[in-house]
Amino acid sequence: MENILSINNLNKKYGKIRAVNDLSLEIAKGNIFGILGPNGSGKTTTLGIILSVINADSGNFSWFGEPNTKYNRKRIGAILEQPIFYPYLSAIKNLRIIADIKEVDHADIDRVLHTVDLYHRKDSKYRTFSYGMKQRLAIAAALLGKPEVLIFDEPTNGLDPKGIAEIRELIITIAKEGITIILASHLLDEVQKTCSHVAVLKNGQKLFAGKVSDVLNMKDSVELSSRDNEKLANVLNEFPQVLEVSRETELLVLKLKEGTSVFDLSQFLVSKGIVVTHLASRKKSLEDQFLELLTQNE
Amino acid sequence: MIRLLKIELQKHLSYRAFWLMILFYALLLAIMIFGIPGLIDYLAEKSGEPSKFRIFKAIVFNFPDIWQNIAFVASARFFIKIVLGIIIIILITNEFHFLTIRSNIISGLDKKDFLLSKLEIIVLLSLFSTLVIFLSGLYLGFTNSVSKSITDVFGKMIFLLGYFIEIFAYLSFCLLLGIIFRKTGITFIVHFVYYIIEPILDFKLNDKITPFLPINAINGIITSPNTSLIKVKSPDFNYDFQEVISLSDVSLCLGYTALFIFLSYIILKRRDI
Repeated sequence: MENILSINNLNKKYGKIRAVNDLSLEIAKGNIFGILGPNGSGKTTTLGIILSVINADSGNFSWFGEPNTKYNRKRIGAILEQPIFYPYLSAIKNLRIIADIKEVDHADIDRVLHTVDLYHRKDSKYRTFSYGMKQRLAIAAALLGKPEVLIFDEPTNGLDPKGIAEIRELIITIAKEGITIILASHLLDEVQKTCSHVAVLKNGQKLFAGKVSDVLNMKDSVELSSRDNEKLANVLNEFPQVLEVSRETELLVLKLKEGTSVFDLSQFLVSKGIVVTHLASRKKSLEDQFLELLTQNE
Repeated sequence: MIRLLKIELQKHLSYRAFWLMILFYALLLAIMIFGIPGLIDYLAEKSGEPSKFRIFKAIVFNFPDIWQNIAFVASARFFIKIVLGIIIIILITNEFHFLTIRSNIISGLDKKDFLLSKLEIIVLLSLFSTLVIFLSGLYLGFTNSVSKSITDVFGKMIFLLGYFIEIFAYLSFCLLLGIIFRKTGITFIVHFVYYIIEPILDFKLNDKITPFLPINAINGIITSPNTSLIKVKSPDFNYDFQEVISLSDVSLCLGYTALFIFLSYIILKRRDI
């Protein structure tokens, strides 16, 4: 698969703090790539570097397999940290400036304003906008000229639940058009719901990079209970596919060997004459994986 | 080039503060242009010796000396050109304050383009200011000058070019300050504090060095007015009035301008924004 972005051994220090620590990443065309990490993990610094507003100390990156130039940035739509516009200008005048910088026809401005549902406010001054509208205008600006890559940094930060839902829906709609999306967030739920790939950062270092589904499929567990949990536990220990049985208050939780389905387990229990009152497969959320990754690297 | 200027103008043409400052500048100039001749007439009537004042007026506003005199007054360091300096400081520090420099870069300008677009607006303001001085000179000259021959009207117009270079140099200085200090208030303070410090240095330092101080250098092209009235020399008043623009003054001024632009570029390039 064609690489849209390659980052090689990037480093950036702020005083003694290593904001980005020998970071390498490959992002392929069509990915919805989540960059996940707690606050201060180097997400925004990394995005700032690949957008040429922050100078790296060492390392390099290339967009579309080409050396970094301003021409590459015209093919990218990005929101870094917060919406940025001239407060005294109207929405449409702000977008005209960006369209002129990107060398995009002004006719595209109406389209993006409709996409984010701000067309009716196009002549209002930016400073009169609510935060949600500012965020939407920033997305409109990023969409100008149909970029090949979109970069969103904490896109739902500071929004109310309705705003969050709207922005997510918008991102998913955009993603369906085959645009590569890079999404930095400290919200696991956000990445889990929208992304195909994920990289986890901590203290500027990459802890993990891969498919979201791979993270989610790692070591699922099954929870079950019956009238007599003691007996159930004894029987389960005889099941050759079981890795581990643990007790929670009313439940038994077991980890199964890879390739074992809930169906196999159920069949085994039936053959042993056990009737369960509860049986459910427990998908590990990205949050669990994330916390696990973070604690492993303490 | 044109594209960058177009982008730059869009940022300011709907900015009310920008127009208020331009209006303020125009108002000050109008007071100067229409007020000074009126004031001379008023003084003439009051003094009881109107002929003396009329002679003075005719000499000061006489072609071609008027070009040097008007350029000298308009380029005086503590006078109206400070309004233009304030405009440039506001325009550049706004970009840092609103973070719009960041969105400009992300959208596809590089730092060189950004600086170039600011230099273009400086050239435009300098041209505007020179044009206003030119039109004022024509008006004042044609209403007051004794001689209106073509050679006199266009003589010494080189002083307008000198004026343009001085204004451009001064605005580049303001641009550099804005890029270094980023905050509007702090930049103003530094600007005015330095405006106080340099005359003190000028007083303390050796006269051989003082012309090379930056503010002196960028105000050094037009150094004195010139009228036939004050060319009289006596033992107590032995001063060489400027007759022509010296190439070394122009080079020094342009040298400083180049330095200001170069430093602006280096700082922008090195800094995270």
